[in-house]
Amino acid sequence: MNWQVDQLTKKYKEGDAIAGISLNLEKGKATGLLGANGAGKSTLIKCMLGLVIPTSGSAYRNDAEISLGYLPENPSLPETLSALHLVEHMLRIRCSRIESSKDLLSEVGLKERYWKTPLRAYSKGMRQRTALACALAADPPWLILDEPMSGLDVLGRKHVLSLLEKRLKEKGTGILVCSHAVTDLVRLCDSILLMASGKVKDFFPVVEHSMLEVAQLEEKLAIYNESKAGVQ
Amino acid sequence: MRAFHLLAFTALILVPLAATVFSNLFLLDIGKVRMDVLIAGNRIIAALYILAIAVMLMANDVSKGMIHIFLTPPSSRRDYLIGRFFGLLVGFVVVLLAAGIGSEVVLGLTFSEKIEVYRHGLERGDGLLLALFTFYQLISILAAVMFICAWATSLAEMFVFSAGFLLLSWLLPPVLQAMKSAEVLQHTPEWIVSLLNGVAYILPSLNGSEIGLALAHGLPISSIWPHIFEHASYALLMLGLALIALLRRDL
Repeated sequence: MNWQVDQLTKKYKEGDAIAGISLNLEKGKATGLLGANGAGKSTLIKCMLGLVIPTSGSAYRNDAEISLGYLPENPSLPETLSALHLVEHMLRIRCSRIESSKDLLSEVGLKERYWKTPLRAYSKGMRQRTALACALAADPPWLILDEPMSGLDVLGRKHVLSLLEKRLKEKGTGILVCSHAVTDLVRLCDSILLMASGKVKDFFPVVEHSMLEVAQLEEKLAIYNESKAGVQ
Repeated sequence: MRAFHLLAFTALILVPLAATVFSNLFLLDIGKVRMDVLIAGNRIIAALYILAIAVMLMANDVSKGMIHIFLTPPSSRRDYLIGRFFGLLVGFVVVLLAAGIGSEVVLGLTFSEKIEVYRHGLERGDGLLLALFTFYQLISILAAVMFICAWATSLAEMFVFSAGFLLLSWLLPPVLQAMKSAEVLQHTPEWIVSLLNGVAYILPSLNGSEIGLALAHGLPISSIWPHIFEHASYALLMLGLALIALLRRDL
């Protein structure tokens, strides 16, 4: 099962957010999106999900009827609900009778004493974990994560990374993750796409998941950032 | 949630209390005064429900991005719109029931009046009917508000346009009624009359309170079916437009 993106373009009055991006995502593999702010990572994700209407091009999934999990950047959650209620609601929307909301909240590492607290009292990290639990509801075959480590402390990052690795290996979930944390991307992903100015500039296969690859990737990223700054 | 509880409390206790207290200022027509206060109270509650609950909820979803959590496959934009519409209607049925029970209690007090003229021809069940027919037109208003929220980009836009729509829907019919008088017509430019008539055509006809009063005065219930059909058709049309607007926008 693949997710085919073909010549996806989104133009705004101010310029192109993304321009002619084509890629092929495979289920059971993790793909990273790396780039500076404004490179078009989030727009690409939103276009693939249908949240932003592309100006041209298409994104096709041959399992389009099956649910997918999406963790937005800075997720906005209903303030008056508790995490337990929200995740139960998500499971109901996705017609899942197998999973329990408590299992999902445990899986993302949200402490049990906060499960029934209204979300308005949550810290950013706790909100992030709750939103991740929502994305994981109904065991989706694809996970699209926009800055999943945002707001998490060191232990939280490790926990979420392990969780994603487990999903990848044990359930064969396809993951598309967008992040500024190069180390996290190298640890998790099988390949990383370097984006700049709304285009995919480079494809970086991750083989050893080593610090050497992190250094190489950071070097490439710096080159693209410098050339972008030069153009500006 | 707190706003919803407050509205339900107002419909159940505060409006009926106001109707009882206010009617005691009058010597005759106690039943009619109570009826008028209940109608006015129910209308205010309907407007508050639209502005404080429906618009705020849609604004949170659309402009703050809460919709992103819910709107991933298999949920579609159509599912979201229909789910929100019926969810808001169900919430409103609860407020309606509270208003109906409160109205029934107040009108029940009227039946205990010994002098016929105080009772003003009211019968048991009229309180519930009054609430029902003051509120049923909300179906079309709510659908129109969904349309406004489907294309507006921020809370401010959604709030201002929805409030404007509500005001126009309520204020225009009496204005047009007044314009039927020859004296008023003589002093009003023709283009203003045409403009107001044109605007009135695209608004739902909010005649629920008149229907409520007419029913309380013995109008057969079969005569209100055309009005319900009119509001349901208007709601369907507006929901269709809302869906088109929602399908064409970036979220």
